[in-house]
Amino acid sequence: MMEELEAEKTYQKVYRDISNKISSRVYKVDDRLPPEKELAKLYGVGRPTIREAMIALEVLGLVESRHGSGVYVTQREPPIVEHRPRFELPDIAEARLVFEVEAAGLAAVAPEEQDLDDLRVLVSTLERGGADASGAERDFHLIVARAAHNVAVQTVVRRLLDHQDAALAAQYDQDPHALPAYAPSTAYAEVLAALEQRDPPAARRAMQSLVALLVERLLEQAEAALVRRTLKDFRNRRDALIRRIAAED
Amino acid sequence: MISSRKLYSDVAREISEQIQTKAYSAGEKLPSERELAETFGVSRPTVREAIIALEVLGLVKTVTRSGVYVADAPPAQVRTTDLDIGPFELLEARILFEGEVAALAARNITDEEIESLSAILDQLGVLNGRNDHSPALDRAFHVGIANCSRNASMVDAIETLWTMGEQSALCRHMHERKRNADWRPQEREHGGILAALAARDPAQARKAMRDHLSRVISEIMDATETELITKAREEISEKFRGIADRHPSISRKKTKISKTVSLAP
Repeated sequence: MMEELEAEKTYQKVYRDISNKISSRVYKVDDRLPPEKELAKLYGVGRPTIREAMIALEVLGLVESRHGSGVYVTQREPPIVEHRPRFELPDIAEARLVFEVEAAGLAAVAPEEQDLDDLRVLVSTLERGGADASGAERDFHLIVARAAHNVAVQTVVRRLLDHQDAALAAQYDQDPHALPAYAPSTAYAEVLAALEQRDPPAARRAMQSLVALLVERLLEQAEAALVRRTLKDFRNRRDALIRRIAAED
Repeated sequence: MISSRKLYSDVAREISEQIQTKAYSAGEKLPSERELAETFGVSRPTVREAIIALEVLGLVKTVTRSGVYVADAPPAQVRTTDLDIGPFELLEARILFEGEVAALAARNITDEEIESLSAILDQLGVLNGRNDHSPALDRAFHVGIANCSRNASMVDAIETLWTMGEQSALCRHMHERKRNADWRPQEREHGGILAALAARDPAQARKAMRDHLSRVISEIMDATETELITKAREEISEKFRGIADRHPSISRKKTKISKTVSLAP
């Protein structure tokens, strides 16, 4: 398993480096890339790894294999920028489920009027739905964390939300079908009510429900996106291989 | 009853303003910790953090057993905007989060990981025997537990908390004061956490972790109070010696100062 991951990383390093060189015009459009053997030596990897990287670059639309004469740069900017997010959605989801429940419990001890007012506005926005709902969703969680009045709690929750944004952005780049995930607005209203009543156990329960619903939607979307992406990658590689075989005939 | 969850920095800022607007004058005694807690509607640990932060800033000094005093020459310009996180605030977060992480770790931990954590505790034991400390080993123990959660996000959160503590001058300052405290409770508690993990008991692991961190809070409270108690004892000792000198009939036998001596004015 580890070897596969290592090999994967290597071909990614190679294609990213070549992609950067194309972006920065070290290789210009219609330039021929150095032959496989030379690239293998340059990067200190095997020729199979170079071939993997070439396929990736082809899939990205940056290069094309021209019959008999080699691989040429076709486009300067990559159409898809592939970020590998540091944290994955299932881990982030589990962490949110556990940590935000604790944050809500603490927030319910003594939330300030300002916190409650801000949350009321956000719940209204979420009830209306519409364009500003996704911002409101994120802000809701941030303000509950703020209401806990503990900078460390706030920092941890904010980092989790940032990690989630990064993971979703990467997913969206590769799969623009993804939609923001929400829970029903009643779930947010329940958290607010528990905070208004200064009821920590109720706040924990309500936050647990809210994050559970949210996380379910996020993971469903992630799964669908992964399936679409995997199919797409597979088909691209299949097509590239078929073209190669045809070219070599 | 705590009516607000102000941070120590809010309290410190308000007291600082009171000092700078001369609501308290130089050398004047501040109200007791208990009174300040009531006035600001915060817990005593929060007041403690505020007072020590102000002491570090040169605005107040802890002089005798009963008092915190405005410094004789408080600095005119004091920045209370960028105060570091306080140890109690951080520990509060750690109690919540590390408790949950320990519970999750108990579900996933392998025998190798138990061995490895045990080795860290052995190393800590060796250091304790020499009255030596290693914050790095302590961190390794706690982060090691987090790794057993199999959740990189949670590990990141725990590491973030530890780094916040390391980067906070106030945390370092207050932890430093408990350097000479008895290391045995900590050793027992670490052992208790490991035992719960080895037993694969999530509820017990959570409890053991929370109890440990709660006691660290008490330990810091004691350590930052000890000076006052020690000073109190020294002062009473002095007074007693003075009286004994003047009245030879009074025995010089050491008396036990009762722990129930009230420190509040």
